[in-house]
Amino acid sequence: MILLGELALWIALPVGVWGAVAGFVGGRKERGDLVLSAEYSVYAVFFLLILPSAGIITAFVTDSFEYWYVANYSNRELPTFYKVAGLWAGQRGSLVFWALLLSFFSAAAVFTNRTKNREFMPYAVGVLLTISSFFLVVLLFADVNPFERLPFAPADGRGLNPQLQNYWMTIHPPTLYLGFTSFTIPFAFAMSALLSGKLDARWIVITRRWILLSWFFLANGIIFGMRWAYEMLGWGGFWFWDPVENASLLPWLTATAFLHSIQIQENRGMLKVWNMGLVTLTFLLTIFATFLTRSGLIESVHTFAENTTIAFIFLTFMGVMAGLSALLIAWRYPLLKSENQIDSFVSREGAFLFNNLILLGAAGSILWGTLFPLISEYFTGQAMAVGPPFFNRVNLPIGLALLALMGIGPVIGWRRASRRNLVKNFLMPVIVGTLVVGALFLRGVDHGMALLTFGLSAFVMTIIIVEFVKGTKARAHIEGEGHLVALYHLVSRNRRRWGGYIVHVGVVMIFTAFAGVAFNREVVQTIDPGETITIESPFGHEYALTYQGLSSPRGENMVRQAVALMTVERSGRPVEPLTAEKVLYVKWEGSPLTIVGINSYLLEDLYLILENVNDLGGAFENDAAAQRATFTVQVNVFVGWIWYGGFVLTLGGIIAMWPSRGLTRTVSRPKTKTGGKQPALAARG
Amino acid sequence: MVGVTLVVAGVILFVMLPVLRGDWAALESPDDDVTDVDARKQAALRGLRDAEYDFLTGKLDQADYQLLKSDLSREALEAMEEEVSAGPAEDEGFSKDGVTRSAKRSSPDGDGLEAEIARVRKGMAEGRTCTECGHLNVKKSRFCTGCGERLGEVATLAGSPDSV
Amino acid sequence: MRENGKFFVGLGGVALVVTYLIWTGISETMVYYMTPIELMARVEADPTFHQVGVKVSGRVVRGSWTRADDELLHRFSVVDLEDESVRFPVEFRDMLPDTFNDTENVDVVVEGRFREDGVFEATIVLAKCGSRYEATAEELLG
Repeated sequence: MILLGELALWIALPVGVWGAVAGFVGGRKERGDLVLSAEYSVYAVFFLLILPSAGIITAFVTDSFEYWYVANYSNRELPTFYKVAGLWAGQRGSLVFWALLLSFFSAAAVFTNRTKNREFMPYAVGVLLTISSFFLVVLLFADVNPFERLPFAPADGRGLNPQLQNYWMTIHPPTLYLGFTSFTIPFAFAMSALLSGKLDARWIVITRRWILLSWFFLANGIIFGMRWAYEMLGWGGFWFWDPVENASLLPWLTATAFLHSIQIQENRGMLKVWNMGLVTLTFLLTIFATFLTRSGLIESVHTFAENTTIAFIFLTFMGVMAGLSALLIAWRYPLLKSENQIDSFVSREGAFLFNNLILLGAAGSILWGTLFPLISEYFTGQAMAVGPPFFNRVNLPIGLALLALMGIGPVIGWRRASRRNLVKNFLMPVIVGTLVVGALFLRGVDHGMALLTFGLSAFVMTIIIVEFVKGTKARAHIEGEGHLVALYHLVSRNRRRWGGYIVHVGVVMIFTAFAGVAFNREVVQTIDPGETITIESPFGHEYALTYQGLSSPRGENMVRQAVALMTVERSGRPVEPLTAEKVLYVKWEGSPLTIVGINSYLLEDLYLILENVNDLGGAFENDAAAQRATFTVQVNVFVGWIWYGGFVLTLGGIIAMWPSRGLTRTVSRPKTKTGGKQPALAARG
Repeated sequence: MVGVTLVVAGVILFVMLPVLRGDWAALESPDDDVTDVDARKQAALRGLRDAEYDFLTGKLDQADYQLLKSDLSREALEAMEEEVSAGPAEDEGFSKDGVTRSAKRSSPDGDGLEAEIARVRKGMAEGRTCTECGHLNVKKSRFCTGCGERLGEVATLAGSPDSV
Repeated sequence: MRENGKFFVGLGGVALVVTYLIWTGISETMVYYMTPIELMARVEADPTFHQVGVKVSGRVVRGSWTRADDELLHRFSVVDLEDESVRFPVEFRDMLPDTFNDTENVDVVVEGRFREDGVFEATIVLAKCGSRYEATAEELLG
């Protein structure tokens, strides 16, 4: 079985290459048989990639330590859960996982387009299989074969790093990968449009949902990563501007820009070249993200082991794809002329344009800062680095501008907003925002940037709420419906728009959470049992944590735990106690893991870290004398709003993506030889 | 080993089947309803609908609304004119089935927009749509009942000095 | 091209602002990124370098980690990845990441300044995620 998986990789490559060639040639020569063969190749490659994936999982689950990859990321005691997730635990398996997802989405794209958009399919399939073949080449020739065997099987494997043994490890990388790989579809259709010269709005309409889907996965993947960091890294922070974090943010930023700029192309026929550039850039950034993680190019706590072969191969691939895309765009430039131009910056087009420009500005600055050590070393001989202060400093104004635009965009008029339009729509929200700032200032909030954030958030929320209210009332009035029904119909008749508004609400919540960081409190104390640590939150809640002591539960013999218990009072009233731990995995050489305790309230989190136990060994033995410990207690303001905002964003995204009922039609077509697929069906849009 | 050979053979056969049997995938989808012209028309009609709602919810005042409406109506009309002139060649296969083009090319959400299309087309065919305010006027009118302006040729662009 | 005038004006404007932000951001927050060898050489050549913010990457010297009992203070030594003889002590008054230890080969990056007394006063310590260290066949079988 596992052998079959290994061989399947070798079969998949020639099939992929054949399919790519057949797709391009079939498209050029209008040979429907080659095109069909190419589409079958897509299905075949997907099937063939299921085999090695299953093979790797089987190897993990059956403790087949003769496989180098399994021995490195598993051991006998590892819960089955994590053995299965071993597929993406390390460099090699994650490449197979990436290839699997890519082939899955390719197959889905082919399947959903088997009776429509046929003019695009040959070249799109060609591009998709080319990219899949690239990943197969990497797997087979860059010394990263997951099926590499050791001379004989060791008795046990190394096991999985305890830091990875948590729920988030099983959903954060896969979600991000889903986002990265699914963006290949829009890219393939864009290239197909360029190759075939069909540069009307069709390629956008075809790929709209794919773009949203990819964006959706990326957003969730990034938020999962933040939650993981917050829960598991034990510092109370959720974002560190680490090179790999940054690399995953970049395609999300450009994908967000793209989501907005395609609306300009759809409505006004503008920004055609820009959109081609953006889709290419976003695709390249997804490859760049995985390249950065795998090559060890920039030191990061995340990177896989350094591998220069991989680095070289990926760089070449990115260069070739960038070059080819640029050539294609240049070649088709005459067909990409705008039908209209911007009448005025003070318009929805202007707002969307600024949205794009500053999102790209943010991406550019983050890319620059991340690569700065390399850039500076190349040009000045001396490597220099920038860290969180740089990234925060540059992105703060950008974030504020984006926040403002989220309010301006939805209501400003198209083409050129008249003064009447501006006053009518913005006067009240601006007043509300100003009042909020004023009220907060009077209450003692004097942090400038935070005040601005809160004010703009209020501005945006006012606008969105008014939109919903006015829209519902209008519809209820016109259609004679009850308000709830009206709201439902309002949203379902224009899901992109209203789903988008809900996404904006989610983003506003997340930005508010970011602003909350400015008000976090922290206390560090070394205490004995019986002593109390107090901390006050900016909202006036007084927390009193009384240290009860350390205990070491007799658990599995491979794990040692020292659990500190604190009873907690919140403004005088007892609430849930908090525990914080040090956990040592005896087999895993390394320091004990820190497990934090979190009590989440609406406006803040109470966060407890067992930073150090003076006599940890004694604590593990339940020694009553070894109880003195250092704790850090934090109040993290608004941090929960990142997760709540994430839910809202997810809800909005789902609404926006949900297929609408329209475009149902039954058409009987003249019979063509379509490989047995007869199209007399209701096609849904 | 047998299993592996079977899989390999099966895959190769599957992939090469179309070429061997001469099965062709469709390279065109004649009933694709999204051409450039269609996309522009749909965008214009969507815009008209949104504008109407914006006006009714008070986001746009009367003057802005009429301006926008006339712009969008003009675009929709232009797109539909293009469609009509491009029409007959593509229609062949379909009119036999009794499926007319306009019904086939449904708008994103049926009801109100269909009526809108019908109205504007009718106005084009039988009466006059005022290029100043977008009001649909009865056949043979010489002055717009919406804004009082003299009705010019439908083809004249709104706002140009010679629309009389 | 001329028709897109407004577009390019907007592009230029935003580009200008972002460039300004990046420029000032970098000049005010950048730190030198060096190996221990480079650090020693630089400090010898330029005594004022003791005041400058620096980021140094190296490896934790095994067994060099001590912790003060009642205050948040860690001490350990960092050695150059290439030349074992070049090393310096580090003081750090914050929580160390869980990936940090002195029993395995832990690659570490410390940021701070190199004091006149020869001790590196670190404000940030990053330790490379242990799982990314992949064992060789010998280590697995041995």
